[in-house]
Amino acid sequence: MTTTEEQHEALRSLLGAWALGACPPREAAELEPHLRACRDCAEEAARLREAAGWLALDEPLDQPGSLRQQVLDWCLARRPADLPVPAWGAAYTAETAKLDALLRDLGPEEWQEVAELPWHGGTEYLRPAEVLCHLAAVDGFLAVALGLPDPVPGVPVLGGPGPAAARRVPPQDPAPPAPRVPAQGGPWAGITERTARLTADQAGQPPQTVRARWRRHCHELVRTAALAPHGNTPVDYGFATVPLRDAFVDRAFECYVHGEDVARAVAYPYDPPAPQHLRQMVDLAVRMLPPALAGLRAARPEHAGAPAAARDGDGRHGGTGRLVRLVIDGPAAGEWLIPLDGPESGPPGGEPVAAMVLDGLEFCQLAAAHRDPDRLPVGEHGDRAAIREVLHAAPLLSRP
Amino acid sequence: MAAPGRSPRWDEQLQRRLARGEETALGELYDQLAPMVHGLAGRILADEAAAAQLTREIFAHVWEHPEAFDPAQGSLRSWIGSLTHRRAVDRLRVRRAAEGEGPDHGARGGYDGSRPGGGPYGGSRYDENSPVEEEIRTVATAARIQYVVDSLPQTLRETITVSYYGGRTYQETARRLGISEQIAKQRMRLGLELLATELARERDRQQQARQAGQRGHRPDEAPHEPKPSAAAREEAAAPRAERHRAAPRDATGHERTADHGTARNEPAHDESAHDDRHRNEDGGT
Repeated sequence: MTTTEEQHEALRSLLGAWALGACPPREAAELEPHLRACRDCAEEAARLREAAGWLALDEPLDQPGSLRQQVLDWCLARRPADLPVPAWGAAYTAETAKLDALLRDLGPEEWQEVAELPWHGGTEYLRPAEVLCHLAAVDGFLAVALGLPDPVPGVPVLGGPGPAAARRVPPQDPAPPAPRVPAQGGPWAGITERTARLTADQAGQPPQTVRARWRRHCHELVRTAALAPHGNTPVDYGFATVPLRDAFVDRAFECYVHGEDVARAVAYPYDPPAPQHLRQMVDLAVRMLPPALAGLRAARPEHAGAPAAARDGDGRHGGTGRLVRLVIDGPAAGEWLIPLDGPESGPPGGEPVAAMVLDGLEFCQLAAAHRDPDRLPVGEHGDRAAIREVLHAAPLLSRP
Repeated sequence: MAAPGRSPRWDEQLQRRLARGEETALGELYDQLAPMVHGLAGRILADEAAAAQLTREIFAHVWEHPEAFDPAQGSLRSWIGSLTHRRAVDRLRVRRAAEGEGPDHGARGGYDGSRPGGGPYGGSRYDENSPVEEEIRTVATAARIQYVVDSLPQTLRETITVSYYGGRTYQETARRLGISEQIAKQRMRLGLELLATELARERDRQQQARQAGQRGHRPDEAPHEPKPSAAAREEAAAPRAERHRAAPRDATGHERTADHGTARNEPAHDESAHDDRHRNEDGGT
């Protein structure tokens, strides 16, 4: 024996690195004579080196993003589901799966990249795991409405009952309740605060653990909704209450937008939503536009097409509000009529004062405040001021 | 297999949900296993369209026949893994035969893709010494090993890939990952040890398959993999268990904790996650 037990153990601990070619030359030069002398080490070295040889392989094929839908459609055509995912939950299922597939492949350095999440009031800067906490914090509103536990940990009870004051009623179909008064600190203070709380709770967890947790919440949400599909169940966002069917589309929309934000930060491609899902998102955004238009009139009258002025000529209060026809191009093609004026102008009616044509994905990007309303390619017919109004109101739908 | 009073395994819960026709169960199955199915199919068939087609067929088979899975014989993952492997290799044989590379082409039975239920794949003869069989064995081994690499616990996989694909020494790797050099060396050794164990199992399996072939049985006809490999394959859970055996001194408690739930597909994590849900179902609504 020319080596002591201690030297033997030290050299032996190098075998993995040696087999991977990860030993500096000096250490390899120490190890190699030992391998000629020590049968145990030589055997292990041969085994490990052979295993390392199998690492030199091509990367497997990338999974195309559209494959999931293709496979599920193929399966469901052969055996229809007895308990299907409701149509309003499908976009959420697809978008969360897409984001999950992106995150599955992130390396440790990519988890440290900071994504930019613009909204109409500024930009949030979040790492991918923090984006997941943000998504989960808002998804928690749906969880509570469905009677599931809130993923956001205990509320420090401060100013009255927040949305998270665990309202564990089983899903049901009552009439949507009246809108709530916005909480103090702006309508989105609740979301910001919940995101911060969940982020703090998850800080220090490996990102893949945060990811697994988020994914589990997504699965639970969809499954609970699919087992008892009550689309009218009210979901309390704190600043607004929306029916569950819309809340799921809203969550799919935000998941897509922030998924793309993350993909941009790590320089990965990211597919747009499937046409039928994009169409649901456009439809939801269009239905949310009237309050945004009212907000625009209140906040920035210079952008509002001044309905009073328009009416002054032919006698005020003609009894009808103006309409704009929105024509969506592309795979999610469709048409919507957008009431431009508030209820004080009377019920919307008559011929639309203008028609605007744009791509569905671009419209969604605009509603997410990811596009400049003055630079968006839009086909315009009729009253251009009315079209500007719609274009400037849409980004107000975005939130932090 | 589960201790009395414990929640059933995720596999069995999912199987029940599939049997009930829950679309969400199909979606979860896809999300969990599509990377394996599509990756394995793609690696063996080296053709995107063929891999996508096989992926459709595999999931359709499980969706239409969830009862075909027998939890007593191994995990859902290993069952679907061997199903995919078997069909991919079979398809490769058919393709090779059609291309005229096989010594006995023309005598082979065609694969009937419209028959997802499987069953005997026709009366093709099996010549273990043909170059085609040799190549298929190599491709299959490579695919299996790559799959094992992919399902190593995250910390081991990361250490090996950062070092091997990045061409870094263990010291550089340690710095890059923010771990000690000692831990880096341990992880490299342990990770390769797991691969080597798997490689040996794969060879045993092929050996058994060849013997079965010589006895006149197609190895593909077995509903599950032969026992020795079924226990070992395709699961991060298995490498974790292996670790205790392979390096009781080296696998520090610290590392084990850090690994928990961070393996590529998080089978263990998901399992406990679903256990949580199970409790919610029992005690909630």
